[in-house]
Amino acid sequence: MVTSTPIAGTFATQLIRDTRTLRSNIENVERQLGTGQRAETYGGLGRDANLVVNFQQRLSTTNSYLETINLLTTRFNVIDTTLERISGIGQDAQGVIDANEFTLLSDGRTGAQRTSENLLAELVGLLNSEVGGRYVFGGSATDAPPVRDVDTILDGTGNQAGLRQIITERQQADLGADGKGRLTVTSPTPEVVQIAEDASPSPFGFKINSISTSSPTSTVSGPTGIPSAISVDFTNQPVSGNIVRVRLDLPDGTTETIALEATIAAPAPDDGFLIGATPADTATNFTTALNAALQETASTKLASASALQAGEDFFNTANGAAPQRVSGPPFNTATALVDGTDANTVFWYKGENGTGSARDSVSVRVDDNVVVDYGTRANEEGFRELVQDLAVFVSQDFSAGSATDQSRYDALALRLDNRLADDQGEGTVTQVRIELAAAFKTADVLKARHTSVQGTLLTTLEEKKGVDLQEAAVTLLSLQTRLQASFQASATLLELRLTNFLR
Amino acid sequence: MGLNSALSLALSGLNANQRNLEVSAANIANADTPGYTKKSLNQTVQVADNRVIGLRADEVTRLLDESIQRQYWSGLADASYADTRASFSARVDQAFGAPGSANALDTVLSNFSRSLETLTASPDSFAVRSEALSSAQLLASQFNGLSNEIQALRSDAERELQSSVQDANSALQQIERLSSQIVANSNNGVPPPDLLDERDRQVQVLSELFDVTVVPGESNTIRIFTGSGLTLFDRQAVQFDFDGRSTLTANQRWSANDDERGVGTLSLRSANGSNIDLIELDVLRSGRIKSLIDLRDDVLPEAQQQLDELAHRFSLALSNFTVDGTAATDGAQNGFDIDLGALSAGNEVSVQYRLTPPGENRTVTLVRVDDPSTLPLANNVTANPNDTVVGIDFSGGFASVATQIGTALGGSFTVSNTAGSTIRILDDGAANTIDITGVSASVTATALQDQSPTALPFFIDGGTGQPYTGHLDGGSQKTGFAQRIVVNPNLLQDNSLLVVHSTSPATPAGDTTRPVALSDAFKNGFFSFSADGTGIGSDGAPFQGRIEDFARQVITFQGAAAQAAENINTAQRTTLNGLETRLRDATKVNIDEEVARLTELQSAYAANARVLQAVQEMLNTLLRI
Repeated sequence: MVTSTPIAGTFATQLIRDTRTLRSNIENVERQLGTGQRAETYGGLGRDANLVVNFQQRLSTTNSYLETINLLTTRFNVIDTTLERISGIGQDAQGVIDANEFTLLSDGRTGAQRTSENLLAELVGLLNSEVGGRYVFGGSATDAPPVRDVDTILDGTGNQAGLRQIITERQQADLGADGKGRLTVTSPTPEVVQIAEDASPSPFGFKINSISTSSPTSTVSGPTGIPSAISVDFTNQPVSGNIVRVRLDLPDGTTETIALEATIAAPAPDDGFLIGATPADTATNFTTALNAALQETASTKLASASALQAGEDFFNTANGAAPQRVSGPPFNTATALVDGTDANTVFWYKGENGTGSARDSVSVRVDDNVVVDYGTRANEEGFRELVQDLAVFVSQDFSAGSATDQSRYDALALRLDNRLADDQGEGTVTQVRIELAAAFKTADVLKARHTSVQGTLLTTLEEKKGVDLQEAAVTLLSLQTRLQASFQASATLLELRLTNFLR
Repeated sequence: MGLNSALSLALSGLNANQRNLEVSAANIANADTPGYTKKSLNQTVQVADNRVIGLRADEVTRLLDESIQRQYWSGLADASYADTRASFSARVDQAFGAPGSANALDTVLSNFSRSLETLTASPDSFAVRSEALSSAQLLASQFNGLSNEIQALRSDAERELQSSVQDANSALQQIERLSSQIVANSNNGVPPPDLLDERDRQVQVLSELFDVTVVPGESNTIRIFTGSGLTLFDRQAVQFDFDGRSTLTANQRWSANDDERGVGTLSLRSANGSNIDLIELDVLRSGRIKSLIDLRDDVLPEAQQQLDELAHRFSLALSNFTVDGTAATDGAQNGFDIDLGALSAGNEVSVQYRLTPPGENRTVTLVRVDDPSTLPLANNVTANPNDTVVGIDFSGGFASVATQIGTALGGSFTVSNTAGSTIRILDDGAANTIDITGVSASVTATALQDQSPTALPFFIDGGTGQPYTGHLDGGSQKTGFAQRIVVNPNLLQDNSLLVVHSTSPATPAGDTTRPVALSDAFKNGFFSFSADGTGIGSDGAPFQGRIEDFARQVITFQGAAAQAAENINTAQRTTLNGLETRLRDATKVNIDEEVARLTELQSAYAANARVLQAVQEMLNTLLRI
């Protein structure tokens, strides 16, 4: 393998050596012409080697960023289209759910409920959409569909309770055994009517907000005490037209006012009470009217609010929270919520559910120091509320025969319309779209930069690694000429021997 | 002066002509024989009583400028050194692959980096994970291949040393034999020129192998020394011995201690029986043998150590995670508790403190060893020039570890083993001369899951099948690691372990924690690279940079080395060619001259014959009278 060092030889050996060098030079130039590369080894690149290796490393990095950004573009396009449709579903639902359209179809549901069920199925399908085998709405859990199917969500499966059961339990807890929204109406003295919450702390039923009266004579007091209580004192009789207003907070954060007007004309209307002969009579009349009003409000507005709040309890599992359900049975005397477990409750969202922001759950580097976060979770507020609203609406049953069902439907539809209209601000679908678009914009800007860097690197590498064809061709020609001349000279020299002339 | 004397003069002329013809014929015949020097015949005129009585053809002598010959021999040693060096370096350079080609080391590294980057974008894709692993396998096999090539070159060097030593011995024996023949056949102190030529040829063989100095002695003897003055031949030849090994690995290195030596050594048995290790004494300065020894013991191991350092940092970058100490106090004393339970042999614990006075920050690096005979450790075990390295023997349990750390840090520190594997390091409290600023350990993950969310034993030591920790017990694990590095086979069986770092709670399939950490460690991790034996950086100022930066240094280092060796080789060869031309000009047979001389001899012969004829005719005339 080591070429033997030539020993002091003859003229011919030197000649052979010289031509061998020339020949190997020619072969080198021919190889350069053939491959377009200046050298076959890093050593052959000389002092450019460091730069070439560095540029090749940078080129590889740039290429990998470009590949990533292209991948990101595909994913982003799919996500954005999906989000656009999800926004559309929100608007569609808002248009469909109308408080004034209470016409029951043969299956005991309204047309709006049927349409909403279709919208819900579409929405769940969209939240389970995948890009190249990757489920995009499951945070970093990209390998399985993040949302359970509609039937499981509504009706549960096996021992796991679904939304309908959660709502039923919550409605029992909110309405109480006597259907008065967990309020007790008593008379500590014959002239005084007291309204009190049945337990504290308890998240269920009406919560007393305030009481007021337009009567200059009757006195109201409270709310005071734990559990909170209010009272009306009829010791000084009210006059006709005086109104007692009881303001009650509902579980979904809305407030209802029960207003009872004093009247002398019997019989008293639904929202009135008869001024009796004595303060004690008036108090009795007031109690009767109040009980009726409480039952009426509880079975309509409180029931709707309860259903919505149950939806909130069931669906709001963001950042690892468990669904909440009423501690029971019995449910109608329950005073607390407990965490649902995987054994007894459907977890509607099965994706990754870490404590960090959903966006941070999936991130990718698009430049040495730029990371784009583009994770989305189906249980983010915007998506979750839409699923929740549709599911709650779909889950409720109404019957034409019930006197309160239309009011309950109206109360539910009104509340849902208000919620669906709120598509601005933190956590909404629009907001998610804006955030993702901003992230993608960053990647897009970097793509332009990477492409330009890529071009520069390629050009420079070509200059340093490649060979100038024209230069190589000229070199080849001159080497060939030299080799020929060298042969010629040797031939002539060898001819010039005396032996050739002494004949 | 009579006819008789004319006759004898003509006869001696004829005789001289014939001898001259012989010499010319030999010159012409050997005009192309390497090492043949031009011969000439010395002629003397015989004079008696002021009269020329004849012509005597004396001994044949050779035409030689000995000073040029000596220069040539010395140039030959240098040229052969450079030539051997250049051809080996070129092979190393070639092993690194053509620039930008698929099997070039930097391309393979870049591809690995790229596949990690892709993994961060699609950790849930089986295909992407499997591609990341196959690029890792390619990288490992590139490391293995380069190391194997380097070790194959060392083995080649070993074999060539063996045969070169045989050449040297045979040349020296020839010289011994020829020298005695020359002395025996010398005629009046004039040596037989053909034997001199032959001896010179053997000296030339020798001077290719070593740097030799030839000193002419009395009665045409010579003495041969190495450049450093060691006698190789003085009437008797010395004998070289070389105990070569068949195949070399990175762990087989030369050592003065015969028990530790893994390669052959060159020793000299002199006539009086003494044995000298020429490598230990560093006697040789040039020539092919010196070049082969340098390649086998310095140049190629350096390339190997560069690869080993690269593989070492690369493997640890992916497998190590940091365990930070937690603050602890005891009265006025402040410090840290650190759990060293997961520390593997070779892992480092860094203790940082501020010493007042003089108000300087100090770092002590504690390195786990399991074999007490490894202690004490050299300070360049870590690439950090500003730390003090102390080896801690873990074989005696954590109480003993605490005691050793206490001894290592000095009396101002209070070190105790509070519980289990937890070590508490406290400062001197009220005295306030030291202030511990941090205690942390860099621990090699030995499990693929549930140990660290970021680090994993991505590559392991294929020699033992254990995770690579860089331990120092029984020789550094780093030595030859590039030859043994393999992708963890458990990872190949289940590539989801690239992502799923925890079983409870189970890591989601799209979790990017681990891929991002791996990519970050590889691309952005900033390390100090050991200068020990790598020739890149120095102990005081080690090379600092990312993995890819060091890889670039290695590639360009080897490229530049090959280029430099080739340049030196070209220069040496040019010099040697010049010397060779001068030597040839001085000794060569000029055919023209010889032919001209032949013509001259021919006519002289004819003239002498004419003289004989004339004498004969004159004698005939006399007889007829």
